[in-house]
Amino acid sequence: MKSGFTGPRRRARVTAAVVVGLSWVGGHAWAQTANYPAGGPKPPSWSSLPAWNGMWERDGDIVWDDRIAPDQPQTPPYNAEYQKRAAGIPNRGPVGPGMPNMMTMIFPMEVEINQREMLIVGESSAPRRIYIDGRLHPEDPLPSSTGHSIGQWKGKELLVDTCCIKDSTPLPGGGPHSDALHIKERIWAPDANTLLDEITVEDPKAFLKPWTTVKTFRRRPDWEPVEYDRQENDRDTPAGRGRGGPRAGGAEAPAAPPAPAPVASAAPPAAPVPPVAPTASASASPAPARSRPLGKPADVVALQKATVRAVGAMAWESVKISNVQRDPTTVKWVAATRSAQLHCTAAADGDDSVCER
Amino acid sequence: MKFARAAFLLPLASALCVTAGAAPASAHHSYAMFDRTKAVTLEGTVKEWQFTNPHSWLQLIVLENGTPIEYGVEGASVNTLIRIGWGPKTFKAGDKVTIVMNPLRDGTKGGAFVKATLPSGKTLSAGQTPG
Repeated sequence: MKSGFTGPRRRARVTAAVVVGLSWVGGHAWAQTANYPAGGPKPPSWSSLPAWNGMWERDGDIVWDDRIAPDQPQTPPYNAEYQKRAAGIPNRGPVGPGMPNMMTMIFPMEVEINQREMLIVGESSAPRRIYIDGRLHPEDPLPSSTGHSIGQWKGKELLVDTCCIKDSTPLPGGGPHSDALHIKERIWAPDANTLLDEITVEDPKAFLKPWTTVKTFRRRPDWEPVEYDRQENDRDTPAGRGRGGPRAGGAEAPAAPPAPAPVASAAPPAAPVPPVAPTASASASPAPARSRPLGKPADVVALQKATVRAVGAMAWESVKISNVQRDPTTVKWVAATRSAQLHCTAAADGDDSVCER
Repeated sequence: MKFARAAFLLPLASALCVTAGAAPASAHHSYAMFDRTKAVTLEGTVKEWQFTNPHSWLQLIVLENGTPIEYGVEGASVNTLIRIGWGPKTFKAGDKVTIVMNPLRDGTKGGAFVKATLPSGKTLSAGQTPG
């Protein structure tokens, strides 16, 4: 009834609307206050959430894009202006906190999904939250290294948009980005033990075209997160604050004798080449006899895992095995990754593995 | 890449060996400071095992010409090593161990872990993360 919007009643309604509006606007004005559209949050049901919770390990190399050959550069498709800005910045690789670097995941990540967010916790960077409860990006955002991420489900895929990444957060490789940086992701699980993240970095002010990659993660159901406190024993600081003194040996170590010269005279460079193990190892007590050779069906996986035990920080699924040679006590094989050809040796059961380039 | 393999026996307790080697995984600093074409074998006595971040360190006492010399052998981070079978009790003070390391280029007494042979005869390796 239009007549109802006049007089004291109307004034009261307008006042109430202004008060509500002010509080609404006030909520928006503060960065990092949830910015829900009209109708408030729309959390997905618990039963609709995918079973992605748990630990995941990076598959492949510690690079932005495993699809690029090892001898090719991994640089953003900068325009001329940003090529100039990036020139001279030392390449710091694809690791470091913040987006999108952190998704390279040099160390494993933990994923937890609830009705509000998908939480991604790496071991060496700040956690990242992808809000899935219907909120929008903040209207007046506070930029951060991880940015502000919102996701929407499209079937079993999570489509993510990330904005509001700090100017000081470098792109993979260490280069700059503009304030137009947006990152789009498509996250899905092709099978129960694999998680894929197709990342598209868009920066129309800095790039000639979007910059994409696909990251692969492998489920590690029995792993727990391990603390990474880099301040614990850091010998790279000028003061050498780490335990045991600065990098170059113990602070209390006696000075080295001045003459390593006798070494050279005792062992001329033309000394005969030992066939396998360094001579010094021969003095170690022999390994106990191995009675459990690798079973044939498990050969490949066992050798993939033996390779990782020798190398570390690498998903066994990314290792390709070839040239397996066995004798009663040892097994030798070639392990190939995207960037390395490793010659590996282990006891017959795959224990005591050592790999060399 | 193929590296020449040659062994040199030191006159006293330690031995030096040149072979193909790999450096431990690291996100923390470049491995340019280490000579990855060389692998030095050290026989010594553990002074202290620091199973720590960002890197682990084995403080090893090696007798050179009768003089005890302390080496700092740098390994990978705790989260990397514990997932390939290392731990806080991998070494204990007084253990006699054989270590292979890529030496520091500047000649100071230390290097990057390649592998260790424990008193039990078990071998632990710490390779280089690809990429």
